Amino acid sequence: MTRSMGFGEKMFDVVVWIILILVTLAVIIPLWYLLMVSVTPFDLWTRTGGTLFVAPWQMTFEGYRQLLTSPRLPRAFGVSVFITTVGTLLNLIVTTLMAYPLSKSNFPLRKPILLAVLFTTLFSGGMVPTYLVVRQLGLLNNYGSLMLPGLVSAFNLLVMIAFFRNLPAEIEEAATIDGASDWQVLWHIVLPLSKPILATIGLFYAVAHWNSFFDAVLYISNAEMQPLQVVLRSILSAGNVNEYVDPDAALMPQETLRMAAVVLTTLPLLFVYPLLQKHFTAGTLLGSVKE
Amino acid sequence: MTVKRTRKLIFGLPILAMFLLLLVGCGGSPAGQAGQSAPAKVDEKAAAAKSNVDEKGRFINAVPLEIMATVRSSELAPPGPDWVVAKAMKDQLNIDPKMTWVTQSGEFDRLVLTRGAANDLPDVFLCSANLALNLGNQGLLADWTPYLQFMPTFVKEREVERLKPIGTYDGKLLALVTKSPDPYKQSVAIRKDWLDKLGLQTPKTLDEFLAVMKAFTEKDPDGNGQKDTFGWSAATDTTGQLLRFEPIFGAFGALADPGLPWRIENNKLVFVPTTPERLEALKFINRMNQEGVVDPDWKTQKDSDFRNKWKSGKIGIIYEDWCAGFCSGNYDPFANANPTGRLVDIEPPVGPGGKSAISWWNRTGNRYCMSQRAADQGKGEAIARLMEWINGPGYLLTIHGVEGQMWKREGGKIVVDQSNDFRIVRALSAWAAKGSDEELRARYDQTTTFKNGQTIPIWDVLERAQKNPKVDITDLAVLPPAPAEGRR
Amino acid sequence: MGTQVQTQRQIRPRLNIGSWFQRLARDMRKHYILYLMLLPGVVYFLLFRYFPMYGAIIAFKDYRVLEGFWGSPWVGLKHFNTIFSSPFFYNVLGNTLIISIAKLLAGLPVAICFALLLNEVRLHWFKRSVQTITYLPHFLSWVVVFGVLLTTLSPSSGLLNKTIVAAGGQPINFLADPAWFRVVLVISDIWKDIGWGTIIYLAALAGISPSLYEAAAVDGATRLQRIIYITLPSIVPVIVLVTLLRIGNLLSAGFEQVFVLYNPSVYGVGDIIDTWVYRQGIQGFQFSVSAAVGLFKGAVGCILLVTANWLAKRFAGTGIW
Repeated sequence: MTRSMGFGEKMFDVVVWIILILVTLAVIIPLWYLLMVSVTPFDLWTRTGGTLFVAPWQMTFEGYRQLLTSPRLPRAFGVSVFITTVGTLLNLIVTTLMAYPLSKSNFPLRKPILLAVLFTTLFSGGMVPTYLVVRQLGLLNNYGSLMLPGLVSAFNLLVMIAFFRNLPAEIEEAATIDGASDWQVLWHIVLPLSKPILATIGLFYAVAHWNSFFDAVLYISNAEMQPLQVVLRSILSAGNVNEYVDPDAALMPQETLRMAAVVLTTLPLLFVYPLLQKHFTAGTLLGSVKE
Repeated sequence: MTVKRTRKLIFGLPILAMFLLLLVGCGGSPAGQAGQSAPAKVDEKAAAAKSNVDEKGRFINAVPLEIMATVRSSELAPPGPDWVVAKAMKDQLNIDPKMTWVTQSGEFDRLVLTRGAANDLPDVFLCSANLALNLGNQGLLADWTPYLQFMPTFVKEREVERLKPIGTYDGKLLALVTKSPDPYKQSVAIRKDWLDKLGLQTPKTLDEFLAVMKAFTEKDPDGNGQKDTFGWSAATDTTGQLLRFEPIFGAFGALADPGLPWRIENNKLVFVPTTPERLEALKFINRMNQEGVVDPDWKTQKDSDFRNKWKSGKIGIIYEDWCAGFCSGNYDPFANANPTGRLVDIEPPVGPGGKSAISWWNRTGNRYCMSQRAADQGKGEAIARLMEWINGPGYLLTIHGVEGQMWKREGGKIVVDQSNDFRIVRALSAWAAKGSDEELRARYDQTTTFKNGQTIPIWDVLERAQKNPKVDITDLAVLPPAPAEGRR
Repeated sequence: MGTQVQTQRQIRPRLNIGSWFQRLARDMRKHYILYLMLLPGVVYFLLFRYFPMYGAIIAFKDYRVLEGFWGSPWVGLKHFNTIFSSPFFYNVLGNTLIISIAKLLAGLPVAICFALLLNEVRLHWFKRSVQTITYLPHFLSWVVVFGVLLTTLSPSSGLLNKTIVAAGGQPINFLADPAWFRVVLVISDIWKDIGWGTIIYLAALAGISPSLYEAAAVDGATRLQRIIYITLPSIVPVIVLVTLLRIGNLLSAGFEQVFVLYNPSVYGVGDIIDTWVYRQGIQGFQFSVSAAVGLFKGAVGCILLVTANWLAKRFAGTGIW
């Protein structure tokens, strides 16, 4: 920093910190509670209603054991990882390619296409025609059915266009004058500057893929191809008593199992986010003044 | 002016594009094409005259069938391509089953409706009364009548003739209704240890029930020094139905059929078609609420929360499916959480007019539906013969798995190996279950001693539950007649 | 983005349709790569978004599967009449608007403030930890959140009610009390998306040129002034974009959340269009009614969006188009 911090500045920091810590606590306490429930034996859970502090010797990892030893889980995890990575990559490629021309203010089709895209955020034909399209394309029981119907999200496209438009126009102009083609400008100049938005939108797409559920129920009937969310939910619904439950089928205490499933599905995202985070701060004041 | 026109054009473009697509779609809509294939009339006599099967009962030409079913144990994987039951169908019938397993039973109806709306139903599947009504209304389901000749044993053993009116719609048997393979499942259970601790007698009349509930609520029966127990608990479902007050309604002779809604609106109980009996029952439920003997969470909690509540030892009298209460997998958590807990089943309360009923009873079991498309493709006979096979030669294989390996007979009783690999093989057992005594004993005749020292012979609970007074609503389950033209 | 639009409009010569097509053709020859880039996306939108829209016509028909979307008999506005003549509809519409607007008015400022506060933190580890933690609730399904709410708000055993009782008050059944239910909806919605909602703003903040801040610092601007005059204006386009899209979807007040959290005691205040339609259609085949509701929601959204965009351009100087 070039300037020394005054008293007001310091107070400002203190206030910011206090607010952020309070918000974080409001979020972390329920999350911590979920984590604790996932290791609380049922009898303890019922006596206490779940507590924030479970003694280590009372913890049970039965829920995790039951989920992780399921023969279906590793495969389903692989399917989800595949859909998420390949799907997100496709999403990003098509969205970027579409956003770039639309971000140019002198692009003749900009406005009609923009409006046409906006139109799709308001109107849709419903689930049945989409199902027919997917079936007609031969995508039933094909991973394509989990990636193609949501290839471009109108919201993400608009956000990306807005970001491109905010990039300094001079750099692009200079490159164009130097004889670079549109493709070269996008690849060598625009994209390197767009890491924050690629990370953000990539995250949005990835999370949508990771959580996709009913698509998979509808389009995928082959058990080998079911993604994680479907498999986890079928493991969880085993606790529901219906007339065909075997009398001595091992039923886990529902809460423990449910929360263990929540922790297991959320955990991978916990690791992905920090990886993307560094792109959010690239090029900001904070990055440059800190030294 | 020209700018304005351009703007108009720009605004109009998406709409124009949409209409262009509409026109294009007109030519090639898959739904439209499917609609043109008029349902072929099945000629009963012709079907009988021309035999499609050889002397061994195998189809001369292999018949592919898409069978959609929910798995029996959803936490396990559905059977793989080398499923022994599918192989048997192929070997013994020359039917190629293409199994579409639904591991999400909660999504089954939505899935079938969507596929139905796209005219892409599986060939044969189990359907609820609502599904049968809606799909039948759309002409998507086939009439079983011409095919019953291929499944005589099934028809006889599953009491198809007697239950025909329930699945008949507009003169066609659209849902093949079978008798329930399940014993009567509802019971009332009480905390015997609490009764003993407080020196109370097992309640019989509604007033005695209320007094016991009051004592359970106020006299700290679990002795933890906190007022955290309740006499009764209940729940609501997503459509606003009150759950788990049935024995109270029964005591007033006011059990509604399940289609009629009782609701709470703005914190008040509202009963749409109110009869004097129902009014009395509701008054009594209100009194229970006012005296504080009902767990106050009941208005917001779901059925699973209700179950956690009594398993945690907070509730004194419980209206519950007895297997959800006493079968070992379900009683275990209760036993672990309540080291001195004793749960016993009792008779439902007797009301002021001497009436008593625990709940409804519907003697219908599965509804099998065949898609009209399958019938049009000439698969009806194969489907019928498959049903007959599942009921006959394939019965034991479908319901229990391979004899000697997955189950055996011991002293006249079937003993089933419950290891996971074998349970996967039994995925379609719901289709095979008949409810015979032998079958029920294989499922329920077990005696277990639990961690809290209580020994429960589940077969005795089952037999007592069969004697409980109940309201038979089987005949109310008839599909309504076809709606007048132009109405839904 | 908005200012560029404005200047663009001023310098654009007056056109007629013919010259617009000429310009398009010229542009296509010169920048054919741009049009190639556009192609996959356009094909996607036509195939998966526009083509299935033919399904919407069943709003004016009685959908008969075997006759298909085209062959089904026309019934005109019958389904719309069914909806609009229902005595419940206007109550449900009111609830939807109240809940939606409350979520928008409360949620948007919270997300923006939270993003701005995060942006002010200099310690990287602290900033990252706060972000990582606060964005996690987004991944919990509403069913799980309902479980958390039940343990917190239960009148018999909930933490909050225990506190109220300890302080001498009467327990409140927040989830079954019509006076509290909407508050619970809004707060739980904010809680769930407080971190997630900031991501989009943080991406925009990352694009701000550091030189702007340096210049302001040299001028002796305080932190608050820098936030108000530099940071905030630079994310206005994103704020406008997010707000406008949410306004366009004002008639969707969060089906999953309401569906999981509500119960018959609070239907009067909590029932929204989507849950109402769901309960109407729970018995089965109501694709025509759904399509009619979809068209109604879309039409209202269209009007709201066009109005809001016009207002945004007038007062914030930027819009989506």
